[in-house]
Amino acid sequence: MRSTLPLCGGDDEACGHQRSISRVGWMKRLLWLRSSHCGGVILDTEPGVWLRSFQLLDTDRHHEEPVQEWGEEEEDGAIFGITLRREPVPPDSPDLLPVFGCVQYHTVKVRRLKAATLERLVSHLLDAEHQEPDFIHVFFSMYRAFTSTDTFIELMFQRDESLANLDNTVSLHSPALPVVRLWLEEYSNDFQEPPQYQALRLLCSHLRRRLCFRRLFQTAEALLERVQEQDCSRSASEHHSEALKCSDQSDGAEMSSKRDKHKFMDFPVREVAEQLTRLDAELFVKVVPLHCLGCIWSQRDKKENRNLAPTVRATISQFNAVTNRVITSLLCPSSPSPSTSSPISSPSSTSTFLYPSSAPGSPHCSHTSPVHRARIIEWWITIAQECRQMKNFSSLKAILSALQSNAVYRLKRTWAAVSRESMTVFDHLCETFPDENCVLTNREILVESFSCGVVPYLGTYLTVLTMLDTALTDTVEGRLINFEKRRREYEILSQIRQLQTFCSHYSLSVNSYITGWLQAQTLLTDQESYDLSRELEPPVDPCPNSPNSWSCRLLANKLALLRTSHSDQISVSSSGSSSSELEDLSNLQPSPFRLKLKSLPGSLHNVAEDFSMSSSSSTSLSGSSCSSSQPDLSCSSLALSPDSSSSSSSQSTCSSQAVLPLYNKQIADSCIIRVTVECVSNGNIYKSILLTSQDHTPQVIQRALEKHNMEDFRIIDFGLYQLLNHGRELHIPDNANVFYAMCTSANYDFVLRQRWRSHRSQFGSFSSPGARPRGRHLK
Amino acid sequence: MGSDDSYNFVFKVVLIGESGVGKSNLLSRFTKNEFMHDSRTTIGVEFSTRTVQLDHLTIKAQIWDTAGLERYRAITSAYYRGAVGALLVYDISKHLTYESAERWLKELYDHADPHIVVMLVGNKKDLETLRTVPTEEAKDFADKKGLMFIETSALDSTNVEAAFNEVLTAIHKKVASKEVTRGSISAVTLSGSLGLTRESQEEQKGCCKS
Repeated sequence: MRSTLPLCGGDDEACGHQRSISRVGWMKRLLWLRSSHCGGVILDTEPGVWLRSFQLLDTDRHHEEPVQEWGEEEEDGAIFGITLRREPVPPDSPDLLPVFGCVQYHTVKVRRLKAATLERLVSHLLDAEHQEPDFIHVFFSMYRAFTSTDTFIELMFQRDESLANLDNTVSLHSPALPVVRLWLEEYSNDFQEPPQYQALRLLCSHLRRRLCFRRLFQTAEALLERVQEQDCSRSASEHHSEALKCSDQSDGAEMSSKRDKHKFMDFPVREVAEQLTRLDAELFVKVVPLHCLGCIWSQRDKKENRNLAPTVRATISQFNAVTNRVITSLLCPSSPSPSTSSPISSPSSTSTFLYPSSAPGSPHCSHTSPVHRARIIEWWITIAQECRQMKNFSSLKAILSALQSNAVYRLKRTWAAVSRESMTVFDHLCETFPDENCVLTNREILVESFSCGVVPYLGTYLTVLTMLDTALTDTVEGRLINFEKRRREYEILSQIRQLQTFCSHYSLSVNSYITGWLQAQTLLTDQESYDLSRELEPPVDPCPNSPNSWSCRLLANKLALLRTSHSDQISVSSSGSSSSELEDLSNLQPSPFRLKLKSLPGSLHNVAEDFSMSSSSSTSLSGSSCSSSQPDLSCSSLALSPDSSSSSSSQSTCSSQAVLPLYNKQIADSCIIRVTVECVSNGNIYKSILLTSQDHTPQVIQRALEKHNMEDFRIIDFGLYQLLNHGRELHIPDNANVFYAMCTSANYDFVLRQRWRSHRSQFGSFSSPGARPRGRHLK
Repeated sequence: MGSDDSYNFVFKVVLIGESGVGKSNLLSRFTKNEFMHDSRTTIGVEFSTRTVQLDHLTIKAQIWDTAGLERYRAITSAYYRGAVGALLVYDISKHLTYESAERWLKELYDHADPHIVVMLVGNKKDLETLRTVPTEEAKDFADKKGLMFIETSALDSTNVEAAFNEVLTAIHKKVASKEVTRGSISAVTLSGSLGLTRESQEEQKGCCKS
């Protein structure tokens, strides 16, 4: 199954057996060897491959894939995949001389079962000698995706018997022995099938038949007894807990009436986060990873599957409860724990109180002000932050989603009152929430979590597993079970399982007070919360649901942020969405913002001049995106003409006053870039140029040359480069739209470089491929 | 990696619609060529990107799917952020999934860029005999709402490429005519140096690192 293939180094002559020139290049590529570093690769015509190579010690290389696909081998009822794996030879290995500065590798050929019939899979399972090390675990974790436990048991013992018949000596050993032992020890959950325990009984009956299974039979019987006992005691305790629940509820009601006198915002945020984490962790450890599989989870909506994957559903219910809690606390902060002594009808039962469906237009929320709601948003943001610290990604996601839900995000007056510190935290939490790629490729989360516990947002896994299930077929060539698919799914289920073990690292005590509040029955549907939201802040603009309202609040906050922060930081932390939000300003008809420009950096001496020039010469600034009939209200003109600070007609619904960033920000269809010319007498001087979305490279070069009093030079003799961070550069193609081509997350600094000058020499870091920085997470 | 190494534009496109209409299947059909030759060591399979060529430009389509998340409340809003295109999918054999299109559309316009390119996609065209949504009706609705329209079958791959390519082309047109706001589109320009391009991509791809 696995043959070790030492690779020899040195040049071709030294090794002497160069056989297949044409394959060498391919082999080099295969083994990630580069010609400069690898002396030679030799293929033998003998069966198998005998390879030797040297690899220069190069830390960068270690990140490369050490495994390469070689090909496939087909046998009756099975397809094997062959990979070659490069492994460093241990320094004390006797068959290779240590070479200074070199790491020696040998290549290992690994066969793995990719697809097979069920029978073949089972016989492979009993064939410990030729099995991949993880096969047995993948099999036991995944077999229920393609067969039933009963069928598997029957097939296994069938195979076992036929093997025993081949071997005429009466053996005390059976290949099924270690398999069944492992099954009973590590995967005994498979047998939790109350009330009949059919599979376990079937297993017992098979084990009883052969002498060599005697001890396993005892183990299995003991297990059967144990699970049956557990079953009995469980049903008893369920009875008990039912009763407890009742008393709990009455306690809860009592407590809530007491609690009603307090504001929920008096709860310490840390403790709220702890209770959320405790609840989430309890549910997460109970998740049956198999139920997350695409082939199971995607069947959930079928009528006959109403109770499918209950453990997964439980985590989602909790997630939705948190979301609902956040939304309700914002829209009806007075319920279920009224924060003021409002004289509104207060039925004794919490649940009816908080759900005033009978009177949708009732004034029960009218006493809350945007400022008050903003404090609540800030409070939740702090809790989200605590959740992030506790690595509770589930509640973190729930809170962030709630704050971005339709009903909440449209409250622009509320958002405008949220402090900028909170907004910074909120934006940061949103932007840094790990996506699929991070979850699956970034081991950091796993490693960090080892010490402190983690509750993942299970949705990420559900998506990935759904995609895997959709993307990969269950069978190949019509009849063979696609085991490769199961391996991939196994990898993801293993991660879930691993995270579940980390959950035990949390030690959180119960705070029934807070838990009671968190779990209070809140039943606002999306529509109801939306209606409430519109009651609180009736739509003002003729198009109430326009995205502008969202942009408004983001803009207000972003602008507020920009007042005090470094614009560089902003453009990095919020690149992507921020500029479009700023642009949306120009779409606002009567702008709800009054933008006041307080100061301009002194270095911008050329801007005003530039602006007036280009606004008279081009229509771009009052073009398509500026729908306002009052050109003065357009964002760009505000940004660029510091003297016209008053926009009298605007209604100041959001009272944000801010200085628009002039550098490193694209506003509407324009931005300001700074251009220098390399290697001319005045080359160190930057000239600011107004760049519009109409400008192509030649025009920009022309304007830059004019600014630098170099009108006599030819445009085509120059190339335009943007200076990125860490001395890197972006070449703007010769006929590109510079506005769209430029990198918006770096400074807007450009250089004109004459073509005959080789710019390559500038890129110190690129001249050495070994030093090339590698992508961190993504391909 | 191959063609993944370099691209001029990244367009984020979202797939929306009720659960069970075949969104993931559409996506899978469209991106298939990209993930099939991953070696088994890669767990972080690229399900959702595909690079296409449009008039000498390399467009990387980044397609977001809410597969498996339909039961999570309020989860979708984050998906719309930065999207420049959307495929609103319904099942031609299930009228309810078509009726909900309006609601999806509202949610989409609430969250996404106002210039977003939206295509109404009637999937499961192969189930013609079970059709409950007449083509004309859906087409009229799309016209009225200013949406593009197509009927597809993820099962036999009918119009899957066309659907995505038409959306990407429309986005590209908007970009070229500057209708789409700048910030929502990541543009990376190719340069002579491969390393340089990679660097600029890295800038665009800030991951979960703070």
